[in-house]
This record gives sequence, C-alpha cells and structure tokens, in this order.
Amino acid sequence: MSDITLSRGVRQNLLSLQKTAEQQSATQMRLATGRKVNSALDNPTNFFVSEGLKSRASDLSRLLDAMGLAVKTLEAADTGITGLKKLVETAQAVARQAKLTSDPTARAAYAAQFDALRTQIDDLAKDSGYNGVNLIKGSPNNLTVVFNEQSTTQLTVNGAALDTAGLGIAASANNWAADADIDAALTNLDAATLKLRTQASTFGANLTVIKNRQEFTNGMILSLTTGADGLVLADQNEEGANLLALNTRQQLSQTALSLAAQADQAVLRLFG
Amino acid sequence: MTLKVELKPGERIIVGTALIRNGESRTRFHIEGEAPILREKDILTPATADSPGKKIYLAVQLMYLTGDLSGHNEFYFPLVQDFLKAAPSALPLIAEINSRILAGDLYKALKAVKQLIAYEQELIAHATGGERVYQGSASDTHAP
Repeated sequence: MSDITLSRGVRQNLLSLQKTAEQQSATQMRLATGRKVNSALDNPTNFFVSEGLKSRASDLSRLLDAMGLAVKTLEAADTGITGLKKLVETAQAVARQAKLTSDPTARAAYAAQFDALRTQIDDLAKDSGYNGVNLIKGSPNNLTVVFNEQSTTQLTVNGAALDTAGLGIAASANNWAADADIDAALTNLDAATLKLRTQASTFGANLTVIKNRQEFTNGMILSLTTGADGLVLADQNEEGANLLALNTRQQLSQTALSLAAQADQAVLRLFG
Repeated sequence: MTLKVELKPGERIIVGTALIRNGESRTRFHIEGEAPILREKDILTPATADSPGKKIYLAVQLMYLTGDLSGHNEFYFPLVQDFLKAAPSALPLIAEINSRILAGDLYKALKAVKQLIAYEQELIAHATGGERVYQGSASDTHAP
C-alpha cells in the first residue's frame, strides 16, 4: 500500500491544529473555575446595536429588490439581442440568395423579404424591455443600480439603440436590381452583427457585476439577521472559548482548505 | 492618486499580480494607478492565517488582490457565519467589513478586518486568562 501524502495546505493546518489544542485546554480549565471577566458591552447597549443592525438588513433588502429588477432588465435585453442576431443572420441569408439570381422579379421579392425582416428587428428591439426599462430600443433607457444604502456605490448601464436605425441597417434600395445594392445591405449586416456581439458582451459583464453584488448583499442580510439576535445574549466569556473551538474545527474544514488552495494560485504563493 | 512607499532592505510588497522584493538599501518610490497594493506586514498566507478572524482577513485579501468578489460564497460568508455563531458580539465589526466590501472598497475592508482580529485576540485573551485580563484591556475600563 502506498504512503499517504499530505498536501502543503493540510500539513500547515495540522500544525496549527496542535497549537490550538493546547490553547483550548487552558480555556476549558478557566471556564471550569467559573472566573468570569466583565463584558465589554453590557446587554442594553447590545440590544440597541442589534436593533440598528436589523433595520440595516431591511434597508439592504430594498436594495436587493432593485438589483433583482436590474438583473431581469439586463436579461430581457440579452434575450432581445439573441433574437436580433438570428434576424440579422436570416437577413444575410436572404441577401446572399438574392445575389444568386439575376431575375429582377425574384430579386424584388427577396428585397421585400429583407424589408419585412427589418420591421421585425424594430419590433423586437421595441419589445425587449422589463418593467418599463428597455436598454436596446431606439433612444434606449439607461439603468442605474445602487449597491449600498448611502448610494455612494452604483453602476450605470448605458443602453444602446439596437433597432435598424441604431444598427445601421438601411432599407433595400432599387428593389436590389444591381449587385451593388445587395452588397451595400450585406456590409450593413456585417457591421450590425459586430455591434450586437459587442453589446451582448458589455451587458454580460454588467450582469456579472450586478449578480455578484446581489449574492453578496444576500449573504450580508443573512449575517445581519442571524447575528442580531445572538448579539443581545452575547456573553464574551464564552465567545473566546467558542472562537478557539471554532479554530480547531476550521483547521481541516473544506472552507479552509479551498481558501488555502485559492491563495496558492494567486500572487500569495510567491510568499511561500 | 500617488502612493508613497518606503521599503526596508529585503522588504517585500505586492503590486498587482507581482511581488517586489527590495534590494540591500532603503528604497523610496511612488506608485500611481489602480493596482492592489499590499505591504509585507499586511499580508497573510494560508500558513499565518491561523485563527477564524485571520482566515476572514485572508479571504478579503484574496478578493482585494484578484479584484474579484466571486469567492465570497465559497469562503467568505461561511467563515463570517462561523465567526458570528462563535462570537455574536462581533456583529458590528463584521457589518462594517461587509459594507466596505459592498461599496467596493476592499482596502478599507482589510483595515476593518484588522479590528476584528484585534477584537478576537482580546476575547481569546479573556478566555485563556492570565494577568492580561486586568491590565490595559479596553473592555475592562468600567469594571469596579
């Protein structure tokens, strides 16, 4: 049977585990003797602090609702862009087919199809809003998301006009009688595809930022609400012992190990 | 904004994703730009983050250095929740750290975690006893 190899993270954690165990036996001794020290904050103070923190949690919940709306708005814009990309691709296919024939009647029919697709593009851009905010219609809205109660941190997502005017897709010219007319349309469509792609990734980046803050705010509210109740009954004599016990438990916890692994990947590994 | 830095011989500093080690003489230089900057005395590693509070510091430090909050679900909040369960009286300090992170000011968040670590050491000192409890500890000022 092969030897068990301990990773660097686990070895370090084992070492501090031994140290903590020593500290902890001292604590248990002390608690057993019943010698208590005065607590830094007496309970009435803790009560008011706790109430204040609870009301912060409800302020944060309101921010969270606004962030949720912002996420939906961006998702609506993103769905819209996906649809627009398909419509532009279809328009490209129509234009290429038109080039394959020289029959003026057939070309005129393709040109009409192309113009119908333009109308669909405009309609889709118009319908890609959420809760009255549309980031991609002609003269689009902007979206401002506030991240903290003081409104000192916020993100503004600038809308972009992605209707045919904004994308620069002109109506078909001369019933596409000449090749040059069709080529002009194809050039416009290429540029439009590029613009859609760029805008999708800009919105995607904004969405990631907002979702990150949203999750963080959720965690914050959770710690405020669970912590606020414990605060009233806090006994600092027990807390020291609790922290030592926690330290022991944490040494080999999954959280601590993955934290160590993460640190080893970052610039911190150079500190070895 | 320019940051003025002075390094002792051999002292190290993280600037962005690089580690800079000073040569044999004292060095003074200025840093401009947005990169995360951490002096050697402010850096914790998995080996030196040996208490619950210091682990929280390490987690925030990682967010600061990588400019990425996304580790918060995996490390930060589990560590914070554990800490609060063990020591609920630390909630005001933790609320302050959270606000700093939410506002995107991770350097100030790190400063706030230092206060949490100091408070943690104080609580542990209370529990492990010794003369320190009666000497100079701020929390005992209203004792009879």
